Amino acid sequence: MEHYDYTQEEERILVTKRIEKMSKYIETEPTKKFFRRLQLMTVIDPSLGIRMLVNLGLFLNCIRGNGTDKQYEFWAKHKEAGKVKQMYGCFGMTELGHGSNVAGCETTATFDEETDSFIIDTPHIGATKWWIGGAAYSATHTVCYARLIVKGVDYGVKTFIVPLRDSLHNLLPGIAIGDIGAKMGRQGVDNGWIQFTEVKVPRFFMLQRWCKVDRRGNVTLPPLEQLSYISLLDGRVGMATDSYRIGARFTTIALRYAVGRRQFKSEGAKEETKLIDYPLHQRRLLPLLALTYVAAVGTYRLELQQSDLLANLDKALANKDKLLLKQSISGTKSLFVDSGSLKSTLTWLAADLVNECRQACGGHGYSAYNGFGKTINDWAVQCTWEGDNNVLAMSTGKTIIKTVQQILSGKKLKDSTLEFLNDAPALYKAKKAVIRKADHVDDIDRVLKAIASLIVKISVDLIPISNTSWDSIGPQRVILSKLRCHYYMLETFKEKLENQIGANSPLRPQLENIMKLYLVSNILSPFIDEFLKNGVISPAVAKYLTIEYPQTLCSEVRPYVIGLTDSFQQPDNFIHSLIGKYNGDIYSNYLGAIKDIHDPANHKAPYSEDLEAMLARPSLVARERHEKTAEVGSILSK
Amino acid sequence: MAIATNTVNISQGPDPKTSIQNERANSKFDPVKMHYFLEGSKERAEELKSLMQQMERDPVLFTDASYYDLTKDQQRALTAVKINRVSRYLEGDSIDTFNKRLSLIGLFDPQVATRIGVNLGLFISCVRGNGTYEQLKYWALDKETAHIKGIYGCFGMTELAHGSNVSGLETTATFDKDTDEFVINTPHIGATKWWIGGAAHSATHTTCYARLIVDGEDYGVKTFVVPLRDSNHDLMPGISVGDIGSKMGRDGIDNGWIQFSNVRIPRFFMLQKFCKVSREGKVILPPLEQLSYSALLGGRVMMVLDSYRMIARMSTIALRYAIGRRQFKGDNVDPDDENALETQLLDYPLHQKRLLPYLAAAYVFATGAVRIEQTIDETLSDLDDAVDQNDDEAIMKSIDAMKSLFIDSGSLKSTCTWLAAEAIDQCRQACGGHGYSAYSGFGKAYNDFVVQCTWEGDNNILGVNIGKPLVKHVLAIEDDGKVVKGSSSFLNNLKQYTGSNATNVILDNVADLNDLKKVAKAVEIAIIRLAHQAATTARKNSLDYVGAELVTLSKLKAHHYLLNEYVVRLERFEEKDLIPYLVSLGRLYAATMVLERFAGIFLTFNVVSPSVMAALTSNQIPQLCKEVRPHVVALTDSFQQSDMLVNSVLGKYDGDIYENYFGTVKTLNKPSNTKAPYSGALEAMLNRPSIEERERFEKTVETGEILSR
Ligand SMILES: Cc1cc2nc3c(=O)[nH]c(=O)nc-3n(C[C@H](O)[C@H](O)[C@H](O)COP(=O)(O)OP(=O)(O)OC[C@H]3O[C@@H](n4cnc5c(N)ncnc54)[C@H](O)[C@@H]3O)c2cc1C
Ligand SMILES: Cc1cc2nc3c(=O)[nH]c(=O)nc-3n(C[C@H](O)[C@H](O)[C@H](O)COP(=O)(O)OP(=O)(O)OC[C@H]3O[C@@H](n4cnc5c(N)ncnc54)[C@H](O)[C@@H]3O)c2cc1C
Repeated sequence: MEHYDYTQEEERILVTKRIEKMSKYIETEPTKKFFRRLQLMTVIDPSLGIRMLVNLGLFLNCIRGNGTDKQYEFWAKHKEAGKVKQMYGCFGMTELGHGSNVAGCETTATFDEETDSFIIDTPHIGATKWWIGGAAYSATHTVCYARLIVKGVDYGVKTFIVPLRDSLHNLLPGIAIGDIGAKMGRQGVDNGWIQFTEVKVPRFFMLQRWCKVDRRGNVTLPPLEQLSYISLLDGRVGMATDSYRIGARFTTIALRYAVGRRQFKSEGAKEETKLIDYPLHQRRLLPLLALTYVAAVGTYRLELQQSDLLANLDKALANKDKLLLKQSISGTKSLFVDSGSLKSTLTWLAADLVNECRQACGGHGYSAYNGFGKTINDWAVQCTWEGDNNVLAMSTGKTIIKTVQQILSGKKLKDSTLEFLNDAPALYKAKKAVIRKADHVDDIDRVLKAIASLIVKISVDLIPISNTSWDSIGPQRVILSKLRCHYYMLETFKEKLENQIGANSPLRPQLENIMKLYLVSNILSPFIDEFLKNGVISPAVAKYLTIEYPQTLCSEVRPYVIGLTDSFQQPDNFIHSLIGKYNGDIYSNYLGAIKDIHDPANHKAPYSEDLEAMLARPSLVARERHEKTAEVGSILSK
Repeated sequence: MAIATNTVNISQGPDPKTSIQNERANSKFDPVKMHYFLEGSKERAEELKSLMQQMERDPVLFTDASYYDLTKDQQRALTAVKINRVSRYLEGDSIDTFNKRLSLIGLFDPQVATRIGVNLGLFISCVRGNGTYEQLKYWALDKETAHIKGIYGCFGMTELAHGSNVSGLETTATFDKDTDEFVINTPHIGATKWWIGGAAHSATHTTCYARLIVDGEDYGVKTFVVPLRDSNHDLMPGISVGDIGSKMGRDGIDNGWIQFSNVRIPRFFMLQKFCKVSREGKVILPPLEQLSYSALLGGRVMMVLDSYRMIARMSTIALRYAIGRRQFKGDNVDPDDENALETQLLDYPLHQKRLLPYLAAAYVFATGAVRIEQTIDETLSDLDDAVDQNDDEAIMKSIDAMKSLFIDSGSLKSTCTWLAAEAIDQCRQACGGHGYSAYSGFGKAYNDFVVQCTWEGDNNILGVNIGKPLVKHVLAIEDDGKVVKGSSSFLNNLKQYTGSNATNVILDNVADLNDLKKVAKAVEIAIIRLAHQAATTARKNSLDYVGAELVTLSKLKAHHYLLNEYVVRLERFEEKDLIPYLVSLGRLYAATMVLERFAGIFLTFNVVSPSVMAALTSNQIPQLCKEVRPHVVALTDSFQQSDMLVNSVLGKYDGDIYENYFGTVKTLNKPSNTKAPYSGALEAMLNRPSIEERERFEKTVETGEILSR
């Protein structure tokens, strides 16, 4: 619990120690297992997670995605970066002036034919690399995103390995680095800024899987630009999964508290009512529980989708298999859409979830020792980095609109996760509302169809505007992206339920209720205005759906909340919250720990003298040397 | 081409300053005059500014970016030093001036304001609200608490197990007839006083909420002044106090827990304006229990003002940034023009839609905040007069006014603090990664602010408490033909809009969207219909069953109040040339914060037609954003918050974002410290010997051969 008291420096030291420990596991266990371990550790210590991932994830994935196999092998294996040994990489993409617009980065890498090297430069303050996790004190190398300039021609942004510190961990010449200091959260990460002044790296330090410069300065460009950004997708997929786990952690805390905490007595009752027995409290928390369940299943599918894709892509490239390559390219497009919409939608929802859970714990949710504050602060950045949520959602929305347009003009999608839009022409023409009777919501296929219809109808309305301005329909593009995420999740959950849970399984009714509660409270209700405006849901059932029905479902789920949260199987050291422990002994856990951390014997503050002097100060008149008194007045006015 | 200015650059960098200053130069109106609108009058605005200047120049109170680097211990110590300084101003200020001063401090250093507020606000208000005039005079004036001198009070209401349910508190105050004293006790862990601001290290006294027990009979929760520390600042016997430690925010406040073990106080330490115990133990109870909670109303009203100022501050940062920052070449850039700059963030319609509604909300909240502040002043002084003169009729009238105030302040407090918390978060997100830097100000602002949604009336509970009377009114109108008085009297039109009239659309013409009065009317009808629906459901179940709808009703009620007050204020405002800008903002607020946010309700209950709602999203909102866009710099300058108050490296007046930011980062984090304190650990890790060596070569093939021989 003391960790919640740590200063920035203490947190950084703790994270360093943990990295050290983790570096021993990575030497001995299979990669997959190690990353699972890291993912779990991230729930407890997000600073640790990202500080390792800038090296093992971003840095190495960037080399893997943009470098040749030999380059990857050299740095990851031979130089042991993959084992957190010898080198520590960081990911030098963002600049002070450019983040979302990576193609606008202004660091330059100018080819110097004479010495066969690139000269890396930060031309002005705006091009200072900024936010670079690990740069301030840890990293020995960075992948630097810089404009490739050969013979005066600017070829756009490419990636280069640039050493920052020598083997004695001292800064190399031409490298200026500083700590960017205090942040809202993730204080355990040493984010830094970097300026390059005439820093020379050998030509073969450019990552050259897709783009090459030869000895004489001839440039070969990549076939598909998108492929070089594939390294970012790993992080997005990971953040979708993080959203599930953080959701699990905080719904567990808030629900355990809601079952243990009583407040207000209803008339004639002996005991006060448990918070969870207030319908309002149910309506606040149970939809979040349902969301977490559905996200668990949805994000797992996303993980598999990604690992399959990477395997296929490698296979296709190794075997020069054109068909497989084509499939992989469309798989990449799908993954862009799916990871973009799930990353943005779920990290947002998770941020809301933690905040709502905090509020549901009243004042105690504000205590640092219950975990909410630190998590909110650490989490917030998930909505911004590795693709700002709005920017990602807009790009997903754009793809959706374009896809609908193509389908309407006759194209049929294949090998794409947007295949469900193939019915667009029919969905668009349909006059009758898809959901027009109360029991229509029990039919999940129908609900899926309703979401698809809504996506199509919104898209069709936007097509003409998109011809003149994509920017002007930004807000609607974001909505489309969210709807796409929910379609994906609902579809996945339904399939999983049908395929893996027997009709007679005791889990079945629980999971069905969860699914229904999810779809009504996370999809139909929040987007009801869109459904109504577009005639997908009829007004007659809207009232039932948004008011009565969710409450009915909440009552169904209510008796099982302890079981449903215990099922997340997160132990106390994971939950890391005094009011959220398994034993439920909220008040003694809480007071006990607080007395341990802050010994009441210290009942005077270190600055108590100041306080006491203030309270015991002489009167104003005395402090004014009695200069303004009536007596003095009469003297002075004589 | 290298250019040397203050630094050497190889090429021209970004120039956010010029964008902001050009837009400022093109302003169409005078921000100073606009500020009069926001603060209610020229006099008030001027007074605020002179207070601001005083604090900005004050060597102790001045605050800058280094504030964001302080640890908890440093924050606590600095907060105490600042309080000491503030106490010197206090000695010369009128109450009114001091409240203004505190409200401004609350914006740039809220922990100072709150740590003072628990004493001067909660402690003294509690004595004022529950004590006799003599009791107030004794503790506040004779003992000089009101000057933060002699005594430091704290507000001991909440317990570990009870917060919202104040009447369920379990600390006891048992009357001991023999000694004419009360004995205060914490009977079990759940009754430990918790969260008490100032208790851990500062307070000498508390107003203790405890159950009055006389002759074995429990008279419910009353208030008692209990000394905690003697004049040497040492704990009194029987008092245990501890620090509750780190919080999500406001770490500069020493919140504590208190346990009482047989603590004796004289009988006359009970606050006895409404409830009295005689020497013989006879108890006289108050006429209306609610009156004794009036101590909390002042805080709620203050939080409406806080919400306005906070949104103003945050939107100033995010909007200045959005004008200086450029990212991507958007649709407004000619693709053939190679030299064209990237698009300013604020020229993206999405960005406008994300931020401008908060700007509008700041303007609307400002008027509501000023209005409700006037109301509480009037109501409380009327009540005091009435009680002093023992005028029963006037007391009853005041009680009615208090009930209205209860509803209005409760719905506004919850609705405005929620929106302000959201605004901080959204403004941060709108600044991308840089919003995550502590020096941008968002992180601390958020962490400090969000507790406003919880304390002094949890927002959801307030929502329920505001919603309930509305629904009960509807039930009474239906059942007994009751006629509702006061600010909810529009409910009397129930029949006109429900039953067979439930489908009459109120806004069915796009032009209606520009008519703020019509929108306010639509909100009224939405309240009527939703309350009616909730009433119908509640008949079958219970009022609690429709808790979620009650909260929605409370929000709608707040927006109804705010819209109406804004319209009134516009009608009275003299600077007619400013009106068009204010009208656009009002419409934008109505369109986004009210109509679009509650679109589901407006559509479901046929208050707005689907086609009007569609036009709202596709035309009205983008159009209004476009209208407001050119005036954004002037509209934020109109908040008249100086750089110190805004305290953000991204949001300074000069707009030189990158230089300001980088400069501060370098000053506060010296790049000459190239190695971290923990660098040794890192280096040792990277340069560790191979695993084989560390395993003493015990698992090698060679060893294997030896060992398996
Ligand atoms: C703690 C932290 C750690 C980080 N670590 C690293 C790291 O290790 N390496 C690294 O390279 N980077 C890192 N980053 C940077 C991060 O990736 C960027 O902050 C992120 O990509 C967002 O870019 P930005 O900050 O420039 O936002 P901007 O692009 O400036 O965006 C600002 C706002 O404008 C909006 N916006 C932008 N473009 C448009 C548009 N076309 N239309 C409408 N709206 C738009 C966005 O939605 C956003 O709200 C880190 C950031 C943080 C906060
Ligand atoms: C930083 C800080 C400083 C504070 N300072 C002081 C101080 O100086 N003095 C003091 O006395 N107190 C102080 N408080 C306490 C504060 O006033 C309480 O935390 C607040 O009143 C909420 O009460 P609670 O924490 O008991 O929440 P609870 O009552 O436990 O509420 C928990 C949740 O349950 C919900 N809930 C409760 N009842 C119902 C119901 N009937 N129906 C539906 N939902 C319900 C609420 O909405 C809330 O979300 C402070 C708190 C904080 C965080």
